[in-house]
Amino acid sequence: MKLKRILSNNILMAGYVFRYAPRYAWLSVAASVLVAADNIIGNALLINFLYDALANRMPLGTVLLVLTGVGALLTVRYLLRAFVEEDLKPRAQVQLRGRLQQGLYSKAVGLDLACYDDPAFYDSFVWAVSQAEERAFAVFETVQRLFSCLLMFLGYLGVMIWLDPWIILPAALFFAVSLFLNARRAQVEYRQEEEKKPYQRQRDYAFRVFYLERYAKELRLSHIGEVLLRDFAAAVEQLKKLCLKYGKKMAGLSMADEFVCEALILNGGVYGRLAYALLVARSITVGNMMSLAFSAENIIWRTKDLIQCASDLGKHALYIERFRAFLAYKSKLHSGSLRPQQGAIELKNVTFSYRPQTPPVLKDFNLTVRPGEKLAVVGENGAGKSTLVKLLLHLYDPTQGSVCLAGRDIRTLDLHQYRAQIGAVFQDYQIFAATVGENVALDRLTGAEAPGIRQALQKAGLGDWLNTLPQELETQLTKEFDDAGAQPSGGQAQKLAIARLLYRNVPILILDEPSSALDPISEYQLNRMIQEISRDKTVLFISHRLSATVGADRIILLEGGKIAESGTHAELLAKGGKYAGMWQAQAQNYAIEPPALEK
Amino acid sequence: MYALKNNGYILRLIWRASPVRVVVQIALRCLNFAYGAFYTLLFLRWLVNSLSAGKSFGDMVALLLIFSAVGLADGGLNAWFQNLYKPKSDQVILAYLSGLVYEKARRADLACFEQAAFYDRYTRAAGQVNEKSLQMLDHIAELVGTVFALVLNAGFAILVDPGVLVLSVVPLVLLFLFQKKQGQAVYARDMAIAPNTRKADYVKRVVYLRDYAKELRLSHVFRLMEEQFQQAIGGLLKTHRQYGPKVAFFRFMTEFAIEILLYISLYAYIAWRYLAAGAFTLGDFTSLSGAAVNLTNFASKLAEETTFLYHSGLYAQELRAFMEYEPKMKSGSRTCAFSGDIVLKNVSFGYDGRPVLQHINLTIRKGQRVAFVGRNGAGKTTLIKLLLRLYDPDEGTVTVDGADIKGYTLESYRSGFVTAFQDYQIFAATLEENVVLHPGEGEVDAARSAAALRESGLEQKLAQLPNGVRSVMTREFDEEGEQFSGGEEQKVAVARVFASNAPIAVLDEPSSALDPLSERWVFDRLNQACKDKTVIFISHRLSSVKDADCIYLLDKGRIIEQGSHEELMRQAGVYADMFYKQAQRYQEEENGGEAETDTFK
Repeated sequence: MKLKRILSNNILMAGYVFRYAPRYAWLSVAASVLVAADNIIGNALLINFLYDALANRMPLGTVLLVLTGVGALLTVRYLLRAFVEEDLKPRAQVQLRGRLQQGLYSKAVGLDLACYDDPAFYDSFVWAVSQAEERAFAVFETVQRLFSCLLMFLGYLGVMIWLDPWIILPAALFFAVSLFLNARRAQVEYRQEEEKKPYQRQRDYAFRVFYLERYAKELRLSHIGEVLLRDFAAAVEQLKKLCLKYGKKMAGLSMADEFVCEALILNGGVYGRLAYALLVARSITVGNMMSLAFSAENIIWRTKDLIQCASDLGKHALYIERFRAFLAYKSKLHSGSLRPQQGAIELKNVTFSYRPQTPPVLKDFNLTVRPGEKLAVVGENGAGKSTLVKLLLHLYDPTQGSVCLAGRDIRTLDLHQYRAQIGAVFQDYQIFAATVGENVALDRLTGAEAPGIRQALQKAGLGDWLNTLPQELETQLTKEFDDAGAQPSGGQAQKLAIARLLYRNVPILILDEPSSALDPISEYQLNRMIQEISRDKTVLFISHRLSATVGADRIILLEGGKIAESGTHAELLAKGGKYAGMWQAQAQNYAIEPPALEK
Repeated sequence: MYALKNNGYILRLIWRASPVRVVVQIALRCLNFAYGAFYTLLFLRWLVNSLSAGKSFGDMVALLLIFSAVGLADGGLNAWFQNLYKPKSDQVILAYLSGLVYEKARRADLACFEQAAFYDRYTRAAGQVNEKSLQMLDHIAELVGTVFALVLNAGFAILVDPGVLVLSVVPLVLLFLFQKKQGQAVYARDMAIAPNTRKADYVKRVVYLRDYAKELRLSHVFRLMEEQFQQAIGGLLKTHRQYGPKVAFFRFMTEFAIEILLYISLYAYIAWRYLAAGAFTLGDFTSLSGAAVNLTNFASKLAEETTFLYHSGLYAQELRAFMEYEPKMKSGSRTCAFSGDIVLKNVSFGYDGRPVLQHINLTIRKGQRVAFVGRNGAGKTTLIKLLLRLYDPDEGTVTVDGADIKGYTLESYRSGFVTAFQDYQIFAATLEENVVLHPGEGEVDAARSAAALRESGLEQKLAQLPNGVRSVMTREFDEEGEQFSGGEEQKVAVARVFASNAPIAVLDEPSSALDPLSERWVFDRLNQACKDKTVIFISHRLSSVKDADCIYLLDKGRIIEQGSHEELMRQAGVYADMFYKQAQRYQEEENGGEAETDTFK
């Protein structure tokens, strides 16, 4: 990455701290200036003064006065720092989190679902941004440290120039050699990390499997643990080899650093020059010498710090690059402005693939769902059923062709108003850590909604459950942040999802395998309920259990992204095609012997 | 103190992994600090004294050479330790500790994983052993070095002028006092912010996790989340405003005690001794003020290290609890032959005092096919866990071949079963190993797993894989790894049953993600493959349990009906009702009329 880009990235991120927590940011900068000043005054200058004062036998009163002054300065510095770091900083972190994430959340929720479905995009962008506020603070701190180091560096440099300009020569040499050696070291380190990464992942994976709950059963019941231990041991062996391989190079560089920088340049150059100036040239006092030695040491430490800061900025910049990409991401889905009308849903010549390279999931797909029609969609795993649902919900745009409602392309319709026409229940619906009422409305409540919510819950068969809850609609669900929170059972949660549909009273329903994890009784109840609420509505129902779809006005069978068969249950059975085969596969075992049926 | 003590436990663990490492690291740290003391206390003193005494430039150069040689020796040792010795030794220690935790985790009762209270505290602590333990070793070495340096500097100060030590007493007392106060205030603040932090973190998870993505886009629940987030932020700000000034004050006081009180008063004292009492040379002044600076630095370092070790001690305590946890489930001594029946006598079992199974009696004959059915939460899966001896019953016994299963070795007992669970896992290993579930042993396993995969309907998929059964599964650590769909993964789990020679197969909803045709195929094959096995089966799809020799219907932890499908249908009880409910819509064809409860009628 170019230097300019690294800087602009870091400035962008540190800028958030200045914008959202200005008081903290500026006081923190002020504290850095004080720290740097104190450091130079309290160390280099004080030492210079003390030695010369003692050597010249200055009156004790003067010495004490100076010491008191330095003490006062230190008091101001520590007071400010304690206040900034312990009082202002925690609040600034919260403020930053509140303001920064607020904006990022809206952005995240506005992202196309595609960003979440694509693992590569999700891992590197969406998930990365969830750590934005921590990172913004880390960047701010690096920048602040850099600033403070730079001040001290310049301060000590000033002291050196003032007391003995010649000392700059070895110090500059030290700076140059040190920079070079560190750059080399960083390269070796980077290569080492890259080479170690896969083995570390392998080692960590094996370890994770051993202590994560979801693997516990199978580890006890099989010998798969031996497979993992074997891979683990192999990974450790590789890591040891790499440690040795790179360790030699790194140790060599360290020794060069010790020998050239510390022994040759610092001891030989700096101290040699000091001894010469004091004893031979007699151009400095003992106080000057102590102060210079001290300054030289400090310059070295600051040099190392500066290099560290620079490398941190580089690492931050890589992260911020992703953050910027996230901010710059333009949603491919656009909201139109027209109000949706009620009418038929049509898919016209729709072709869709998740990524340009991959083969299409739906090919040249045509389908019309009349208002009020009950349509069942069946097919093998991977036939494109769930993709169809996502297109209908306008979570994706078709790659080719169009989806229309009442004759209008849904891309021209207002996105929120369009989605508000449809109620969807998925197999993976979520219960939120919020009150029962909020969980039904899925929105903020003003209080006026209570009767509607209660009615929806009652219709969904949760009336009795509601009465058992301590605070009725106000009861907190899940134990996420209330240990007394109510935890609905699987069946209750499913009914809650239905209550959401009942509450919204939408004209179109989409049900995507809502019953696959339910026991026969719960499934039966769910199907009854769905039947209840689907009157007068357009319904699209997806299920592997054909018994649930048998009464549909029309059943379509998807195969390889196309409609392979279409018709009523009876028509499809008569046809004797794939649907009939599926039906046979499921139905033959449900045949009820005549005597049993009579009961 | 108690928490500090537990650091010793971690140190012992590391000691067992590599005693040399512990000795070397601590010794080296002490050596580094000794070198620091040598520099400030002796070298600078010589330097200043020689300068004041007007020694020649040549003498000075000699002195510098000696000093450089000592410095190089110290630096060389560090370079060796940091770059060559430590990284490799780290790997050895991590492997050893991981090995310990593995062994423990493998033998630990399943309850350690399934009970949230135990898991969150102890098992998770074990999961962090790698990052934490080496960090703790560093800090322990640092602490020992710091104490050593304090002794060196204090000893030196006493020799030159004991007054220095007297002066440090008050600031040091203040330091520890305020440090403690600060720790308490920080703890109180952390406690107070915890609920709102949890809330804010929850909202973040909802926004960024994939699981919630669809619902956030299809409803207004985001507005609700935003509101919760802002509330949490407001609450956090309020708490911080309340505790901030207090924490800041204590922090200032600790720093005041050391950095100002001690530092300035020492300088003043030494200057006074030099000027007024005329007690020192300029070299003494140098080394004494050096010792004073060191004392202040090491005192605050000591305080820092103790705080760190206090916190890590709390961690160590949890790790220790896990490592010293003795599994309640003991392995027996006999080998189980599985030649006879499995009998449950009056078995009861509960989690945390909540009964899940009550007075279960049943007999599974060798070669029988039995099924457990019932509503969600009726206790079916728990019953299976008792059969597999993942839990021991609270009451009653499970016997196989006439003897309590507690008398058999766990290894021989559990290896009598092959299982396919609803929540099966795919491991980052080869496809072959994912089927046979032990390290692949050449062509035999390759052929066996390939055959099993074909049986479970993955023949086409297998043909597409360039490396066949040797393909690496998951992208966990291989970017080219195979990622199967949910249906395909379930077929891999079923293939495990085909590949196994175990006499008993346990199938817990093995087909929930499969479409009707794949389900049919898999079941036909399973029936074929399990002809000689005892089969224990759980399913919500009653059509698939129909052929079982005996069906047990569980309700609220009890068996309420049992018998063959025909018998249960004749009983016309709960099972028959369930079956009708699932079956009626499949009857349309045969009845020629419409069933009464189609979804859409």
